[in-house]
Amino acid sequence: MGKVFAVILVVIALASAVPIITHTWYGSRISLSPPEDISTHGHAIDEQLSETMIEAGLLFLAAQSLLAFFVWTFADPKDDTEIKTFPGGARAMVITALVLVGTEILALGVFGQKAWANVYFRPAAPDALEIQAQAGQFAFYFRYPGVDGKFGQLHPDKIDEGNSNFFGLDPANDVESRDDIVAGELAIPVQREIHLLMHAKDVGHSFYVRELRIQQDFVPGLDLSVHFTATKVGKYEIVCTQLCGLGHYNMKAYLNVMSQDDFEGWMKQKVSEQ
Amino acid sequence: MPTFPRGELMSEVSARAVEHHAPPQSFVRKHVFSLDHKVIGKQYYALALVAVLIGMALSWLMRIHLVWPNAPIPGLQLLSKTGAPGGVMTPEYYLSLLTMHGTLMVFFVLTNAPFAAFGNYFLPIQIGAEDMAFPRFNMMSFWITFLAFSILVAAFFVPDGPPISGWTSYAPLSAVGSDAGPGEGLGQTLWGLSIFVFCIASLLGSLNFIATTLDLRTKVAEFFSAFAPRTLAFAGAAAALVILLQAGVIGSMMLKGDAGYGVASAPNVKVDSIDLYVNFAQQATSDEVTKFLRSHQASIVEGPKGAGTYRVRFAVTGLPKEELARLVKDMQQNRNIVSSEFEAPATK
Amino acid sequence: MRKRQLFAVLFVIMVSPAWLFGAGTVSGKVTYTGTPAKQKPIDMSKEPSCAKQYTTPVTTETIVTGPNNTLQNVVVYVSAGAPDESTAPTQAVTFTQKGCRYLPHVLAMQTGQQVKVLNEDQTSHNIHPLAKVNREWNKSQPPGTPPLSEKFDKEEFIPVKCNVHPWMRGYFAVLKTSYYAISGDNGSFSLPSLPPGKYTITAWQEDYGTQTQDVTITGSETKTVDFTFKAKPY
Repeated sequence: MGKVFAVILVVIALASAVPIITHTWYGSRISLSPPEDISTHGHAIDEQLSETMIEAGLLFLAAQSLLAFFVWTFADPKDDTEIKTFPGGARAMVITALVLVGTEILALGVFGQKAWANVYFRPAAPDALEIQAQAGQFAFYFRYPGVDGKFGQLHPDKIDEGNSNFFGLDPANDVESRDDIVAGELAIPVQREIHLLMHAKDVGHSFYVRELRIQQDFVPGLDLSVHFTATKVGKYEIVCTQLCGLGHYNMKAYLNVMSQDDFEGWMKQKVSEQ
Repeated sequence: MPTFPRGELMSEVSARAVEHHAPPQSFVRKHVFSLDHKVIGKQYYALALVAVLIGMALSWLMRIHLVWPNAPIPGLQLLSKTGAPGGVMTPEYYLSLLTMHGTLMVFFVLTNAPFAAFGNYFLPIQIGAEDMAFPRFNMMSFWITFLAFSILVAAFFVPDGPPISGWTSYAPLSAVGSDAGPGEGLGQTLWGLSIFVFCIASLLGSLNFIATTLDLRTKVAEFFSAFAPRTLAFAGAAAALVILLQAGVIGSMMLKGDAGYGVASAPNVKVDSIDLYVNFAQQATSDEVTKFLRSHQASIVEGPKGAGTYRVRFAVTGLPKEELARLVKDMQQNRNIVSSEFEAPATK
Repeated sequence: MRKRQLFAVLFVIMVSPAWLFGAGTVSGKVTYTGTPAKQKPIDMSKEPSCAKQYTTPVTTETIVTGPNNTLQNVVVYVSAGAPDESTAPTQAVTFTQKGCRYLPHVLAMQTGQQVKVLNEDQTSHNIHPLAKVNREWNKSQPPGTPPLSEKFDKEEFIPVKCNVHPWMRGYFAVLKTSYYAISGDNGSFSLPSLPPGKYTITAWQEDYGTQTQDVTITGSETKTVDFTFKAKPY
């Protein structure tokens, strides 16, 4: 009877390994592999994910097989079966487990460190294109500094959404905000580093573009930023990934990566609409 | 035979103990307000079962709504007239059900079943103790958990319904009150109260576990138990700490030079020039000023303004804060050339 | 001769009600001076099902102008002197959410009159009248749900927003009197059937505020009352 459990263990372990394999099988026809990566830092993150999957997967299979082996061997013990203990006793066994598991986690962490630190510990390049992003219930709005290159001051008491004044600009009194361009989509040129300056208008939101491998929460009260470089032209979805209320399910915007010429044309059109 | 300080025999002590701690006789004492860790473990398990069944039912409702958003679910209007008029779930009520599903599953199943139920039942057995260290605490912690569960379930039946802010209930969405949506008034208050009471119960339980593990190990069990439960717990903590440490230590070793997180309002981007408003000393000759400017790789960009202030641009190669401090110190040592200086507001 | 006299008397008797309860009219035009602020185009890219309904993006409707410097969407009503009207009309007014906009932009109604809100879009809307004097409420309307009915009991100019789509803006003008009109394409309005008396006429524009003028109706004449608002460039 006990030997059946051992077999079941092995079957479950192998069945669980299937998604691991399909995940790391890039470019496969099974669409369980991650979405295409259009960022410069995404490759390191994807690699880290794969390494974690493989390492953890192999260790998982090994542990389950070992467990199945013990269950098989000692399931229906005869009276004279000698039950050995781990050499060195319980203390040694626990220390071994600690060292093995600890090494695995440490290794994954060390290798992953560069992937994460490269995005968050490296500041944006000085010539990055600065775009301001505001998340409010329930839409994202983006502001470009305009021809003067400066962002006008924000006055939250002047926010008037019915009048399309989403950021609370005061063009009557602030000269710098007269040429600021506010758009509902994030249009960016390809192959140019973008420095996204983020703030929340009301509650917590989050900026997530899966193809960019970027996710950053908007925390009310904090001025946060992310920087990235998109490498492929196209339209990608920005979704809000922090529950922000009733319209959270519908809160999204589009990231429009364009060639430099198309981007300039888009800017010209926006300027003419001001 | 082990004797006690007053010279009694162990058997006499045991007999007295049996008198004081005679097993309970009434149904209520045996099955409801029991002090026995096994009974309490089973009670926790029953609570976790009820919670998981309710949570499962909620997840079914959520899945039905995702696939057929406009389909009436018979009987749902009895649970909430405003949330499901005619049985059709409103989007707001979906969020309420989502919140309650998460809360029930995480707090009342995931922490109750493995730790409170399984732990209470098996910990004393594992270490060879008679019962937990504080049986009355144990009973109290279960019944306070039950109270927390009741308060949470009550949130279903208030007029506005359960809260919609998710099981993590981040502020400010959960803090502003009923402006944020239905269920955010009384529903959110009940939710918060329930989790607070749950935490009290959980603390009592943890105190019990720690005291039991540290104090009630028998000598025979000591060798194994000294490592089994505590070490596993510490092993998990150690793994977490390793990850934390390497983030700070190894991460910063791998990327030298730059300080940490740059934020939009306090950029730590290296700049290549800093502007200062400078007043040159009256006795400084133009030769000295020119030499000074050249040695500091500086040039006058604006001026003179009123009171003889010039805007001078210094070429720097580092982080703005440090370079600024260095420049100011430098000029304080050259008071014969520069009489005063102050930071010019950024042009960007 | 008696028959003719009888007819004359009868005629006078029949016509006299029109004399006593006159049918005066106040009409006029609403215009502006100066340069009004440019209306900004609305970016609906977050809601593709609405965005694709427009070949060119729609603009905000805060200031809607007509030919010859006239203003549309101005609510002109009798704010003082109107006869008491205790019962609200039974006919409901309609407010439609279509193409992620509110139609009409300004809806006038009487206190106690039902307003029916329809959702003709493929997306959910959540109408939220920002009432300060009346009770503030908001109701979500997924696509395909029946219209919702509400009423307001106190006089107020209520801005209406959609909790899901931040650019949507409309107004409910809840008035005590039935003597109201909203200026049309050429800025003109007309308040007919006014009995003789002294009246205060108020014109309300959502950005420029209110203006009042007094007028006296003596019989069944038409009095012209024009309003001119000063436009602001921003």
